[in-house]
Amino acid sequence: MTRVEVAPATDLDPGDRALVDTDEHGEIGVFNVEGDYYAIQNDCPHRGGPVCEGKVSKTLVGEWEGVGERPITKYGDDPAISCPWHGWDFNLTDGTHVGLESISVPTFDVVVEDGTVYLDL
Amino acid sequence: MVASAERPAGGSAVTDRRHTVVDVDAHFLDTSKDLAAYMPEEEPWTERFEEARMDMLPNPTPDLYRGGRIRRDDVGYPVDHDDVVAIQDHVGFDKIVMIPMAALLIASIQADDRRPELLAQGFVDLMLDRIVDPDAGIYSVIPAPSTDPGAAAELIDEYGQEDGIIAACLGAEGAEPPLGHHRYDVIYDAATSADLPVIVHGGGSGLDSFHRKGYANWIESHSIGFVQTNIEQLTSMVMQGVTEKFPDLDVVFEESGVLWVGSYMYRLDQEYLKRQDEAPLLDALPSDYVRDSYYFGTQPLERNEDPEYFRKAMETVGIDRFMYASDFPHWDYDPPSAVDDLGIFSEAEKEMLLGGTAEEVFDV
Repeated sequence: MTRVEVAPATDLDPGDRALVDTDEHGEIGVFNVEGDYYAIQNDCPHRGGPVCEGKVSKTLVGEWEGVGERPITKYGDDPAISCPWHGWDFNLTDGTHVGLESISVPTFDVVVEDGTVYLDL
Repeated sequence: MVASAERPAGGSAVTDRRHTVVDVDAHFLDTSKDLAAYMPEEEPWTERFEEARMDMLPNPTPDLYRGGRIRRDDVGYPVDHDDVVAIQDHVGFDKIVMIPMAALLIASIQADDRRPELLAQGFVDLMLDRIVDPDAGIYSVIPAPSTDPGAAAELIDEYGQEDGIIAACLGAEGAEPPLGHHRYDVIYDAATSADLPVIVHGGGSGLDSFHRKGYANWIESHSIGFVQTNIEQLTSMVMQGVTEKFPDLDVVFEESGVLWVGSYMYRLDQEYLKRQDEAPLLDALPSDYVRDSYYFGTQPLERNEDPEYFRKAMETVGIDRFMYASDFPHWDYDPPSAVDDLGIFSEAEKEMLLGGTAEEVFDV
């Protein structure tokens, strides 16, 4: 395992992100979403777009209450990121495409030790 | 009968006697006067239909016969039970599903009146009274007026268990909003409760009433119309999650050929991956839903310019998703022999295409 320093935790507040160059996996985005950390490779499996530059939000999921009711879209529980090039949405918790689990972006472990955020690769 | 269903012996072989043949798309010509005889007397529209000096069904403006250059004296619309039996014998349909022309036209009635439901009800009563005969392999459908989903659901509730009624049928042309809209849920719910599949029959030809105005000739509108309207409705139904809402519902698209389905379902997939939140009920790729819950009548079978391509195009959807359809008695109908003529199917696949799949889906 390789440990890569990302940033002091004080520089990565909720809503912040950092991009880290690594030898093994190229550029990796590290995200603080409401106090939880996530890391994914900055390489969309669709066309190689900069997925880590995309909008972070919640997954969008559907709900249907019954016959004659309009299906509605609402926010799910998991954080998601949208590749800005073509809108492919990935669940930040496991890197899977929100619409098709067989497509995914590699994810990595994030640890915080002694006030510093690290990637464990 | 309107024209002879008989054909002189010695014509080119159109039948396929080696397999059970189920034709899932033969047409019955119903006029508004015919249907009026089966409408309620207390309904004012009934006397309007009875007294009409011109047929009061909507009518596109096709030049089917190219100024008399196309002639099909060998085929004609059946108007009674014996006609249908003669057609079955002549063409080799062991079982035949009669689709009303009215079902394809009532969706074009946009005025806020009762014509769609009355015509649909009149058609079912007429068919049950004069034509439908499961013992002879003659079946029909409930034309479900998309303009009034509540009335359509009531018709399905009322007639869905009648012996020989094997589907609800929606016209693809004219159904606005498209058929994935939640206003049609009641139709799919009723069909599911009656254990009936839904047929969506393509439409759109002629010139003056075509969606896009200004095509020069029928060759253009007829090339695109039936495929276009089926593509529109398939897109809406798949993306809006009709299968997720009604997982037991089978949907059969008719009269748009076979080769477009595979390529188009992959187009839906690439769109879905970019905007899946806009199809919020889907849990899988659109193509997975197409392969699992949708079927396609084969007519008009395209020319087999490349056997390998043709077969692959059907395989990618699943050969078991297609079922033989004739479009009899229209001038461009496909006889059962058209399936064998493609030269790309095993005997088991021909058995499935010509009848096996339809027998299973329609429970006939």
